[in-house]
Amino acid sequence: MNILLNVIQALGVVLLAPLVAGMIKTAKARMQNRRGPKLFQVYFDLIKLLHKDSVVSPTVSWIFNLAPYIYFAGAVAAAALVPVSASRSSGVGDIFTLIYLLALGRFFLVLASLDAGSAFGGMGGAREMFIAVLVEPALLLSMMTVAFKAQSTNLGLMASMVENSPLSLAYVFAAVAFFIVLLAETGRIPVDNPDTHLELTMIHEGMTLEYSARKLALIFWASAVKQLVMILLFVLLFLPGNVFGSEMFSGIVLKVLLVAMVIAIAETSTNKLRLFKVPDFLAVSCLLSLLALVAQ
Amino acid sequence: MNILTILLLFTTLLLTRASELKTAVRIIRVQSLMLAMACTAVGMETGEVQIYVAAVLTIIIKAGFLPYVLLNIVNTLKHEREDHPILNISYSSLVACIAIVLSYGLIDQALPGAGSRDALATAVAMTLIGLLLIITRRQAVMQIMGMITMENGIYLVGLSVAKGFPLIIELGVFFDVLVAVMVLSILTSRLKLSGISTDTSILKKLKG
Amino acid sequence: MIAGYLYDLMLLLFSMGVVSVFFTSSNAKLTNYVAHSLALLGSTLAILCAIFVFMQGKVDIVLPVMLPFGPIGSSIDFLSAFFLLIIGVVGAATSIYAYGYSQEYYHRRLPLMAGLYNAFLLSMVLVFTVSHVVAFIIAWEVMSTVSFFLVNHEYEKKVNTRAAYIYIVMTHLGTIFITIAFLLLAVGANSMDFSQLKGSLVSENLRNVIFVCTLIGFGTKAGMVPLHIWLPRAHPAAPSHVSALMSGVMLKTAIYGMCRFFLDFLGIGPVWWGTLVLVLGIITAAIGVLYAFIEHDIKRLLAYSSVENIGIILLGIGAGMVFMSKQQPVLAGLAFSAALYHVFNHALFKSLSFMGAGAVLQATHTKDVDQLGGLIKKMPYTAVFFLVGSVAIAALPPLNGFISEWLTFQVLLFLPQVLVGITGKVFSALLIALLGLTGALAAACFATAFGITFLAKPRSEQANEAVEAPPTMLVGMGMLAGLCIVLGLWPIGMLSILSMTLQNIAGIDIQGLVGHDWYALAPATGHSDGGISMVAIILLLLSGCAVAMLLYSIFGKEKVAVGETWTCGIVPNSHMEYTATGFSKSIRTVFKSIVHSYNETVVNANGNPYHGQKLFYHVRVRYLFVSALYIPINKTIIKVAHFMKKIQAGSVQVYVGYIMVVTVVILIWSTGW
Repeated sequence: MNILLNVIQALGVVLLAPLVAGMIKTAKARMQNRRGPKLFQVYFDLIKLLHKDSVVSPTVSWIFNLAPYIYFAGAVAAAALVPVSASRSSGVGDIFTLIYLLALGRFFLVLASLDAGSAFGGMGGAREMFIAVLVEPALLLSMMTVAFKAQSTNLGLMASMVENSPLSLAYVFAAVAFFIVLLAETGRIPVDNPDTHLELTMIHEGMTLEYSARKLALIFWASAVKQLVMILLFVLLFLPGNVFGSEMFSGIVLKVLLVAMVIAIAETSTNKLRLFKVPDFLAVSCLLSLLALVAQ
Repeated sequence: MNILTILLLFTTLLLTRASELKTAVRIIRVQSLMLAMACTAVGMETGEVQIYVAAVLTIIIKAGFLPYVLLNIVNTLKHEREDHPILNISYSSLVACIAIVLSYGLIDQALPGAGSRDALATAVAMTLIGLLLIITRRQAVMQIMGMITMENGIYLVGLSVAKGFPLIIELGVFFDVLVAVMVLSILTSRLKLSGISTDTSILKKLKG
Repeated sequence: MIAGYLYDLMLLLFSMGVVSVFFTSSNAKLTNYVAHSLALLGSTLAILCAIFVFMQGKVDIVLPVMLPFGPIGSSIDFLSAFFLLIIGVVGAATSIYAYGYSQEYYHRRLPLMAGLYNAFLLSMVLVFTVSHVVAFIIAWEVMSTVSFFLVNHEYEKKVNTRAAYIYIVMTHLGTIFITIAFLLLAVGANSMDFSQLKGSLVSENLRNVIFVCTLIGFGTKAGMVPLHIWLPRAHPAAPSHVSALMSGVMLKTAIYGMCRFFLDFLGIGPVWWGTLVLVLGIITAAIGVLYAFIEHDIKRLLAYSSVENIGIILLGIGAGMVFMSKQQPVLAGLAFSAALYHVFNHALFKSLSFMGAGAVLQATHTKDVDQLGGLIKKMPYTAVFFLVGSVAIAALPPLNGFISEWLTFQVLLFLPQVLVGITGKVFSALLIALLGLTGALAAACFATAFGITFLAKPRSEQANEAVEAPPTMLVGMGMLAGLCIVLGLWPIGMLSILSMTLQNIAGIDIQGLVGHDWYALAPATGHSDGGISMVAIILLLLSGCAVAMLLYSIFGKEKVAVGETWTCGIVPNSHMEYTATGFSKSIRTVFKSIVHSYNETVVNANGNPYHGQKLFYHVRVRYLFVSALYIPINKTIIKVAHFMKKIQAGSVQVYVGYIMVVTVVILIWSTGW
């Protein structure tokens, strides 16, 4: 069945996600005049975590143990739905399914953050939900700019339409809007600092503070997969035309590299926003999407 | 018939000048007797049995039973009289005259050239004067007198226009008055037992 | 016909349930079993009756009641059968649940509650099925009155009495408008029978008036903003199984009324009808979920969430009406299917959640989420069922909430095709964005509700001493949870029922609703090839889990050590945990123009200033619609009443004087003097 292609694609994304995460880290470091970690360092970190034994709080329940699996499964399922050309034929990719699968993972992770009974977990979970609430309309608006044009929310159809359309102002607006959402959804500066060690400034890391060893590895890996999924969505749905040949695998790889560089540049050039300034930031994204809709 | 009508008007005017409760009851008895005689006259005209029956009922209830009960009540209220009505006696009579003029004018306007013009006008006047009594008298017994006057007026309309209402309506009217008087007697005896006066202006305290 | 017999038998059983409490009132346990068993049997018969109607076709029954308006008949067509199915399923689950839940009420007027419960079910069944205007209004009034008594059941607490009072006033306001709408139609059709009302000859303006009256009348009962203020007060005040019925089924009687009017009686109308319903729907959804998130009383939270879901249903209905006005029958069919699917889903998962909240309330005697915690270890099964309900409400795959939310999104996506132009596109985009916001807030709200209630350490003694709910309560909850999962995994079953329900309605075409693949949900709308496949989603999720488990065990078995939660080195206690109030703080700040929350901080400085002071932090919310709309209306009415009071002088003679003056004036005027 065609769905097998999707599963293989998902496995491919899982394997390559830490590499992309590593690329972003290295690029950021080089721009900040540091040497930075090796390109494959993230793989080594994950393997190291998988070797370790874990420490679990006695307050937690089975939700704590279940959540990393669901988060990982959600991310993998989302990865399977991304409309890389070969897998479009199975027709299971739908933008709402993708968004809600990621939301499923996030829901259980927030529950797990409350489970340990610490204030850091609660705060991280609360802030994550806050950002999710604000990101959702912005994400949907930017997706709708493409979906309205394609008259469908099927990812395959949307991607095919984008490939065959010329670059226009509407796409530029939509691309910038989705880029802002990308930064928010993957927890990058200016919304959240992925390298912080201060619990009070953590959003995503604060949620996972109580996790250790293998479950933590699963969560890290799933975050990296989610990041790659969002980058792929950006590349396939918002960069129109056959610039580097999106049909071909190499074209996609080049575009992903390019986007990773842009993320690194964006992270290095700004600082983290105050939490209550994030709605303004996302409002800019909403406005740009609306402009893109009008300009179509 | 016309003589009786004028006499009815006269008794009604007299009622507005009564300040002793006993006097008022006696006037009402006379008024009801007059009404019964008018009814008998109509019965003799038309020859229908039920009008005779109605006349007899009027005599028994309105001229016999009711004044008897009312006199009993009045006897238990030895120290009650209509001392200061809302509108004093002279002005009451004046307003009653205006009411008579008004009713004559109305009947002339509404039904010009009607045969029973006097009776109709008297009836309307009695109704209005009855209402006037209810409004301007403080004593409960006097208010009942006003109500009986109104009933008599309506009865007179029936007599003059339709030559008598059907018996069932007559019975209804009688029961109406009967119940009112029963309520009054109970109320008065309760008020007497509690030692409160039957002046109804004390009921104002029940305002919501 | 069999369905006819089943219907009569069902009415008989519910009536017996009402009457039986008179005989068994001396023995509380007997009352419990007898009354609730009769209710359970009646509900099961409702399900069977609905199934038979679907299989055999429409049924007309004449009820043996003589009123001077003509013969009163019930006509169970497919729409009624669909709603009968809902009340049957939810009623059965609630009746089983009530066995265990009523144990708390053995000394608190249980016979009254059990009798009223049966009467409530009876009246709702009648509302769904009668086909005569007067009978409908009578059944509607009986339903409102019985639910008023049930809401007021625990009248010892003043807040319950106040809630019941507001409820009865608002519901009668709605009934006035419903009666006006019905009578206008009946006069136009010269008949009181539902089947005749369709051909009613009324002018265009009158149709608009009927539409507005219907919207206001049924909207009050459904909890549409701004007529929703009774919902968050009345649903928490009632006993939990009654709250489950009220939220699950009674709100749907209003939706049934709306569907009858919009699909059956009024038919296709102008576009502004649908657009108005759309706007009201999205406002209801957004406001409802916003207030739900900032609540920390668990039943009020669920009540506000009901308001949100009614908003989503109204979105579907509004879109359907727009499509009908623009002659797009296939899309209209999709829209109404989305709305009715959400009706069924909401009945299931909201009743489930209320039953879970009732179990928590019975175990801990508190509704305040900030006093609970750690219940997942003390009440494991209740926690699982409540989790299923929460995931379903948050519209997360693979449960049923996701399916109806997806269908609603699809419907909104096709709106710009009929509302052409930039305004149409922007309007639809805004609707989709706000619906997304609503969904995200709902997920956040239920993460809070479940997380703070069940997880971490207990925050009070009462939560510490909770015990699991009695088995009958668990069975009731389990039934609904199971149905949630089934409807999520197999949407085609529900869609087949829906396509039968919506047949033969003018302006709707449901041919393409059920696609050719048994596992996929791919409505053939002729515009796209979109679709989702639940089987594929499950497969993908399972393969993801498999990969995760592989990674987990790739390096052998893990050794788990126990270590206390990190709280900077000190021993954690329950005061350090996050509360629901804290969880919603950021949203309260962002939306402060709507929510207007203000806090009171009371510092008890009597303690040692170096060792810490006691601090009380209380958050209050100013409810927008109550303060902006209802309180000014109340004040105006009271001012006018005070003014009118002046004509009440207290003296009988003044009143007679009024009469005399009027009489004389009329006499003079009528004779033209």
